Amino acid sequence: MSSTDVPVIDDPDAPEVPLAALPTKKVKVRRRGRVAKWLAIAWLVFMTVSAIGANSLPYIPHECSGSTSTCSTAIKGDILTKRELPPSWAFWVDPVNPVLPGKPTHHGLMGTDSNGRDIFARAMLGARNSLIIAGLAITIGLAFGTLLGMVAGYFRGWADTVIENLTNVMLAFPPLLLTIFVVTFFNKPDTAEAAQRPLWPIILALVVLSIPPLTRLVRANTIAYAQRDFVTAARSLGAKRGRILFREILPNIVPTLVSFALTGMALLIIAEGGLAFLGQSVELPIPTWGKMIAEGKEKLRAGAWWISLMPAATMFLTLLSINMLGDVLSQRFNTREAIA
Amino acid sequence: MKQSTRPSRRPARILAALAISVGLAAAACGGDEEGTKDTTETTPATTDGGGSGTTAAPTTVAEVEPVPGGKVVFGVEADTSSPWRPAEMLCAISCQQVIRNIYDTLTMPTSEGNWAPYLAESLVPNDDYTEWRITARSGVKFHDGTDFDGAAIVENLNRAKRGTVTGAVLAAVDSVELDPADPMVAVVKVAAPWVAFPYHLSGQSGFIASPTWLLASDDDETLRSKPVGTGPFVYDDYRVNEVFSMKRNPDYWNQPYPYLDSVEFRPIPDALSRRDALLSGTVDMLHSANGQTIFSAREDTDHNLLELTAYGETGYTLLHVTQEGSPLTDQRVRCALAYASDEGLLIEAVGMGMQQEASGPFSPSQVGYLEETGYPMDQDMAEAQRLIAEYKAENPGTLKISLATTQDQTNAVTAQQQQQWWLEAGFDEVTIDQIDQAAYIATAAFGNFQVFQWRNHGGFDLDEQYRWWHSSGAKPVGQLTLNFGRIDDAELDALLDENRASTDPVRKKEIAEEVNRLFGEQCYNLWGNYTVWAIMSDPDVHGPVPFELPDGDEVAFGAGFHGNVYMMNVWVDQ
Amino acid sequence: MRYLLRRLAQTIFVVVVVTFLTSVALRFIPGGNEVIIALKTGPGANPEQAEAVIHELGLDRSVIAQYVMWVGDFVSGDWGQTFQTNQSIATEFKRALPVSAYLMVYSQVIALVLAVPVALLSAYRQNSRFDRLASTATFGMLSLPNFIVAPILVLLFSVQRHWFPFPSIYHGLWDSPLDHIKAFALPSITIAIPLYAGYMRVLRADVIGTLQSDFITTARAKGVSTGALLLKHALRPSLFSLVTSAAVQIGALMGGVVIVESYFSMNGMGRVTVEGIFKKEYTTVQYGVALIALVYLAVNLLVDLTYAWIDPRVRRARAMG
Repeated sequence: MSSTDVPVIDDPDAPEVPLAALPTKKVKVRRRGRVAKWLAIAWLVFMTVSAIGANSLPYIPHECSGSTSTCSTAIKGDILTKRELPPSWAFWVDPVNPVLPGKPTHHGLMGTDSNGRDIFARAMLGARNSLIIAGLAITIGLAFGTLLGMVAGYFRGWADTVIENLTNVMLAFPPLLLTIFVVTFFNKPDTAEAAQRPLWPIILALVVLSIPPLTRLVRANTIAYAQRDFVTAARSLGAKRGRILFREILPNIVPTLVSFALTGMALLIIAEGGLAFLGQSVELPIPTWGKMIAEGKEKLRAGAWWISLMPAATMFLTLLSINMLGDVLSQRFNTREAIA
Repeated sequence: MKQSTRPSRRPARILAALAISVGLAAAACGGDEEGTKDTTETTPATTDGGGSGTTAAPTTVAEVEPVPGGKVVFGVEADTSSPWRPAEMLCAISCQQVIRNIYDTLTMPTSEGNWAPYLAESLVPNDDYTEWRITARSGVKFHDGTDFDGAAIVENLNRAKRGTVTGAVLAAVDSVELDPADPMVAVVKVAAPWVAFPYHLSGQSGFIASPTWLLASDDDETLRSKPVGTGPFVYDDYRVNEVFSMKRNPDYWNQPYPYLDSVEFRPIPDALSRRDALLSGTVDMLHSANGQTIFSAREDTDHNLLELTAYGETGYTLLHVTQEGSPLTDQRVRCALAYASDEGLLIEAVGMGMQQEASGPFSPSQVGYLEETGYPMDQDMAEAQRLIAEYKAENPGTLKISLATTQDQTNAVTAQQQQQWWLEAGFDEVTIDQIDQAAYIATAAFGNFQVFQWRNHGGFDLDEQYRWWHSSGAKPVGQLTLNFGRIDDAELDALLDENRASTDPVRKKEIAEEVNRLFGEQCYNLWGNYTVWAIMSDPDVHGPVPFELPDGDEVAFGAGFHGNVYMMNVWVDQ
Repeated sequence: MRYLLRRLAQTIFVVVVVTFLTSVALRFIPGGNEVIIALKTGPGANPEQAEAVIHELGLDRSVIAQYVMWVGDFVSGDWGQTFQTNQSIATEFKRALPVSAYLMVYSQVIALVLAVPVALLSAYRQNSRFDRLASTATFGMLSLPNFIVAPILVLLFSVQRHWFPFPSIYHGLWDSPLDHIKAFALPSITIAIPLYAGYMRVLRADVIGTLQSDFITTARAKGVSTGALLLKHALRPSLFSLVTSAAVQIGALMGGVVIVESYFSMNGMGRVTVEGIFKKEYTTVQYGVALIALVYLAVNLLVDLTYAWIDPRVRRARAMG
């Protein structure tokens, strides 16, 4: 839930109810729901393809120079004639700035920003950054969380105690503060030299956020499955611990994890946006959604609403798709509503 | 653009105004404003004795009789949040706007561009301007009941001399002592003739705090944020980042002021949010240098608008010119940056055409202003590329540079535009660092930068710029200095030194113009535009308007910073 | 009883570790002691001043001694002043605490008051048009970051209609109730939106589960009216997850709404602490983090203990888990 800046992903101390106790009635998948589901999947596929291929796809206008990792999305022409142009489809919107005769008045799918850059191209490059940051963070978080959670849930005893207490400590730190602290801590101390601001502190900060709830989730599920008959059977047949953990228990946890991770990823995208809003995310001019939204907010009232609202809409649709997909998955796999 | 009625320049009367000012940390404040190019943040302004330039008269009717009472909420661009002791403040525009209501200054700038005594009864120099006798105004009491006298001046000036920022201003002061014959007179001895000394006393160095309170706050740190002065308003409450509120001083010596019962200052760093606060009726007044805000304010007939430009600062891009191994030590690279940039375009695009393009550090009402200084004001990308190519031929390797700016979006737009231009000119890498407001000024003062967005150099006399440019301030990186760019230029030094000793207005003008040309030729800084400050207010707020000083002159807006206005004769409809 | 003790011991352990980490954090500041000295004394400190600063912060002692000293200061409320502004840190947090508390209470109330009826109706009429609309809306709300919601609310209700002040300024509830409510309205609504969405989904899922159980069928057979059925029979057994997540949010909201607090210029716990990070006010950050963590831990402990006391099944579930 994202009422807080960096959302609380899980009730840290909610009593863990074993899976067996969950309601098992199958939910009918409705037709309308199916359409929405496919729309969501289509959008996510589109975003993922665009994000991965942002550098080479023909529909994303941009230029990347060799020596910098940043790509220019500036459209051709003098900044005065190309800045803050409304989207092509917004025929009812007059350009905010005076337009010279013979120059374009509208541009592209999402218009241009104050620097005369194509917002659609930036939104797609931004998708790459936002998705890379959130995706990497959640993946790494998953790896650690799964490992810790399974160890704690399967072996119990002192390992469980240690891991539980570690998780408790991590959860006790206020999440956004922790994130900002990690990011500022690893920032370079001065600006006397040209150097790119590294991406990894942001990812690290988000990983730190995602580990404790994931650990708890995996632990609870591991405990539940460890008592199931097939695990007991495998054990009595003399299967090794590793085999039991990774061959018997893990596959059963994966569905729950995937739907949970999707929701978690949506929350991390929001968290990155919050960081960007406080000026603590990647450096200029690298776009992320949160940064683009923040960049345009001054123009919101001045008529150029698309600068902020277009990336906001992209972000909203993506989050919506992820959330809906997560919900569909959790219904399909009968996992308990975990985000509350 | 509305016509500005700027005070005529009277160099003859100004003589060696050294207004010093204050500054340093000033810049820590402010911020996110600037509608334009480089102006990032405020800067240590130099304009202690800054003149006023009222551009448009407020739409109030002067004939209406002021009504006492009421309250005004003023939205300022930053919470300076410093210890409110004059010698320790890091005082940019917002701080000046707030604290001037608590502390009076010994002098005030006049609309003629001169100085006049204010809290001081008189300031009299000896024949060769090496000694100044400052007489305290009699019958004045501090808010805590302490009497204002010569000893109070001595205590304050001595503290100012020890202060980090004010100390740099008063470096040439040898001693401040009480006249044994007259308890109301402080005697200031200076090392060399200092004609314009009183200008400095209209800014931070001239704020007078209660000596009783100063002593008490030495021991009790919490007292330091509860200032006690002689000003029109009395400290009421201060909450960091939230509010500074003050109440009417019923015993103010300069009657009938103040009119208002109370004033509240609210820091709202985001320019747009600040305007929203005015539109929502939450604040009654605001100041802003944001092009977008000024642009829409001109069309907004529901609010009063006052624009201030005279003796103002220049928004520019500051270069660190002596950093070891930096390409910026090479004049060709610096000028290539200038050739690659198109300031006029930025003013149109980012500043909404609100400002005038700068040719040098001096704005049109300042001594030394020239329309043509030799600085490449027009973009010439071919020339830029030629210079860079020439430099790269001699210095192989990747040519990279770091550009620092604030979190403000307008500044970010500017920075990204510069980045694009400079890459086009042939730089291999240009990285942008957005530095948090709170750390911005320290970054400049310690020299931890290569290229920096900045605003500075308002004021009356070239000597005010001495400490920003003289090589005595070209300290190594990591040491605090006011010569942020670490300029070390013998020719510039000679000009500054000659100006300091000179009392001939004609020669002083020549010197200032020569300095201006030297900056143009060397490209030590990339000039942007002349800052415009706008004061917006609700229609029921009357003023601010200049008031009459005790000696009959009219006061000028902009003491401390050219956007500063006085609250003591502001009044509201009841 | 064993569970109680174990839970208590756990909390104490976490408290000790958290406060220990925050108390020694000063040793790991990038730039080291010099940075702290410069911040505290201004540039150009003489050696005596520098030494005094280091001594005052306990940086010249062993880690344990520093921790003990810090805990002593923390408990006694002698938190010192901010480096640069000489504000009493304790006073700042004393002011911040009610701001955060009111924000938390109001947003919780708004979210719960809306979530309960909507969830009940949604669950009762599962897959009806109302349910689909309400459920889809919750996805939308969960996907709207508060930094998008807040400016929209301000535009609509402060700038276009002058209903609420912007930026908000704190007024005590009893000093001027109307100003108080006005100041807290928009930030509370901003926070409440995703909160509502989460609560609504949790409760809806649980009520659906409850409605399938035998005792509901029995009640229905007995002819209990719909309203009574939902409120008296279905709601209470379904409240478990909702109350748990709402309780957890109490702790999370106290320090975790920095963006909303910043946007509306309200000095809550989160904002004061984050500003501390930006301004390098390290001692403020120390106390802020410790306070927020303590509130969070205390709330969670209380919630758990209350449950264990009310419902022995939790203890069993705990013992199993």
